[in-house]
Amino acid sequence: MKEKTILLVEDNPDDVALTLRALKKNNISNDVVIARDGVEALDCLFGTGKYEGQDVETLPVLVLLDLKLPRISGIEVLQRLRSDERTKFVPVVILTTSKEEQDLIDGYRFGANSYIRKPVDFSNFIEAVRQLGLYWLVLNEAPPLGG
Amino acid sequence: MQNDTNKYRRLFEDSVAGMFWATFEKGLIIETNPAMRRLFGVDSFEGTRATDFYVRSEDRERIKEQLLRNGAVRDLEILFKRKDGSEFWGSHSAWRYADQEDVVEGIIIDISHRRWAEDALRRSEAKYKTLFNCANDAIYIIRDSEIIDCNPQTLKMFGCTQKEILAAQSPIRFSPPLQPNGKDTRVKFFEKIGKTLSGEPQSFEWKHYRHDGTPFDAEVSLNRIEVDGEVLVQAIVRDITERKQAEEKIREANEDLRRRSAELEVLNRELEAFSYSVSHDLRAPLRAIDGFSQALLEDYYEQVDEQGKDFLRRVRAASQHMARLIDDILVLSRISRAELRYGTVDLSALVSTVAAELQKTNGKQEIDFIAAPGIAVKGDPNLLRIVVENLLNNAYKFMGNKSGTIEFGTVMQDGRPVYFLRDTGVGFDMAYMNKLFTPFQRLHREDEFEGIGIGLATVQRIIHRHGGHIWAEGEVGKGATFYFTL
Repeated sequence: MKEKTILLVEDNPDDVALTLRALKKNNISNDVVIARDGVEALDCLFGTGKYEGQDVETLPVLVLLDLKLPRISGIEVLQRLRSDERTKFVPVVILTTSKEEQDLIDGYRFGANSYIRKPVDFSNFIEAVRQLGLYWLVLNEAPPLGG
Repeated sequence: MQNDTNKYRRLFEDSVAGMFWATFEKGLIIETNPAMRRLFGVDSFEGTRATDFYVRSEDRERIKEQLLRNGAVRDLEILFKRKDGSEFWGSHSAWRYADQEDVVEGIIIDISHRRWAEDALRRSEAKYKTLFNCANDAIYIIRDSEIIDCNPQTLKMFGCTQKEILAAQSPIRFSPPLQPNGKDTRVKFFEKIGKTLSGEPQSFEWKHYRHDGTPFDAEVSLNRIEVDGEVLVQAIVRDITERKQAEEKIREANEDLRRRSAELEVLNRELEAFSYSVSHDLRAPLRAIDGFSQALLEDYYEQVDEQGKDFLRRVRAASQHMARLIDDILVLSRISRAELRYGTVDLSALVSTVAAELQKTNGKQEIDFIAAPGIAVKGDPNLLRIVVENLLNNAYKFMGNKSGTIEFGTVMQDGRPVYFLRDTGVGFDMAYMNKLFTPFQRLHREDEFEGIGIGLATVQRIIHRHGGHIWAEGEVGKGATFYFTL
C-alpha cells in the first residue's frame, strides 16, 4: 500500500462512484483502495485472502467505513482493527447511511474516530467530504507507526 | 353416750355445711349451726321463717310436698337469698321424723360456684350452637373417620339430608377418588386426619362432590377438639368455587396478556429491524439519484438544455424530499417505541429557546413572541423538545408573511393545567380539524407552505405517550391555537 492511501470500505458501487467523485471535486488526490465488503477490508489490512503477500507495512492514512456490509459488518471490521496492536490507531471514519442510535453507540463503543451520515443532497455530501479531507488528511497528525 | 353426744355436737358446730332444725308447718327455725348462720349472713335466725330465705316460694312448697310424701328430700338445688338480699345456690337435703311430725332437720351446702360455672358454660354453648347453626361454612365433627354431627350449612353445601350425610359416614364419600394434584383422596384424607389428631391443625384445598355428583372446590380446616374426654376432629369446609373461578379468570387474563405482550414484543422487534433497514437501504438509492443528477448537471452542462436542467433539478428536489419523508417516518416510528425517560422540563424556558432560534431564521416579518414564565412539567425532555419544535415551527411557518403574535401559556380546565400555543397566522378550517393530526394529511398546498404533514402526527403521538391529549381551535385567516395536556 502506498503512503497516505485512503481505504474506502463500501459495497454499493453507486456510493463508491459518488465518493470518488466527491474526493476528486475536492482535489483530494490520495490513492484510494476500495474494499467491497468486510472480508476484503480485513484482507487488505492484514495481507490475507486476495491481498496475500502484499505489503501491509504501510497502513492507510484513513479508513472510510460503511456499516452495512455483506459477510463481515463494518462494526466487526472496526472491532478487529482495534483489537490488533498494529492497526489499533488507524483513523476510522464511519461513513454510512443510518443514524440509528444503536449504530452510533456501537461505532463509538468500538473506537471509531468519527461518525458521518451521508447526506442525500449531493452538494452537502461534497461539502462533508471536503471538511473530512481537510481534517483527517491535512490538519490531523497521524499516529506514529506501529502504535 | 355422753361422749357420743359431745362428738355429734362438735361435728354440728364445726361442719362447713349449714345445718338446722325447723318446724314443718310454719317453718320456724329452732336451731342452726355457725355454718348455717354464716351462709345466710345472720347472727341469729330468731324471729325469721324459712320462707324468708327462698327466692322462689314454690321451691318451699315443693320441698314441703316431698317431705310429706317421702319424709325426705335429697340434694335439691335451690336458689336462696341472704338477709342482705344477695342470692346463692344451695344443695338442700332435709328429713322429717315419723315420731316428730312437725320437726324438720336439714343441711344446706353452698354450690353457687358450680352452678354459675355451669350457667356460663350453658350460655357459651348456646352461643356456639348459634354459630354452628348459622355459619356460612359447613362445620362437621369427625370421630375416627366418620361424620357424627354436622351443621345445616353442611347439608346445604353437599345437597343432602342429615340422614344421608351420617349414612355416608366419611367425607371420602363426598370426594372424587383422586385430588387435582393426582393424590389418592383416601391416603390424603387419613394423612390430614392423622396430623390433626397429633395436634397439628390442617388447612388445605380439597375437591369435593355434592350428593348429586357435581364437583366443587373447597377450602378445609381441620382442628382437634376434645369433648367429654373424647378426641374428635372438627372440620370447617368453605365452598370456594366462585373464588376458584375468579382466580382462573385472572390467570387466563394474565396468560392472555403475557401472550399478547410477547407478540407485541416480536412485532416491535420486527418493526425495529424494518426501520433499521429502511434507514439504511431506502436512502442509498436516493443518494445515487441525487448524486448522479448533480453529476449530469455538472459534467454535461453544455449538452443539456435548460428544460433538461430543470428536469434534473426536479429529480434532485424530489429525492431530497423523499429523504426527508423517510427521516420523519423513522422519527415517528421511533417515538412510538422509545422508552420514556421522565424528568422535569421547564416548558417556558424550552419554548423561549426554540422561539429565539426561529426568530433568527424567520427574521423577515415582525412577530411578537410571548411566553408565560415558570411553567414546569414532568415528561421526557427529548420528546417534549420535539413537541415544542414542531408546534413552534408550525406557528412561525403559518404566520406566512403577516406580522402578528405567537403566545405560549397555560389555562386551568377541570382542575388540570392545559398548555397552549396560539398564533395569529393563516389559521385553518375547523371542518378539517380531525385531519390535522393524521400522518401525511396536509391542509395547505405544497407551494403555499412546505412540509410533509407528519409534524403534528408526531406531536400527537408524543402527547399520547405522556398520557395527555392535544386538540386545536382555529379560523381561516385569524390564527390557530393548539392545546395540550400531559
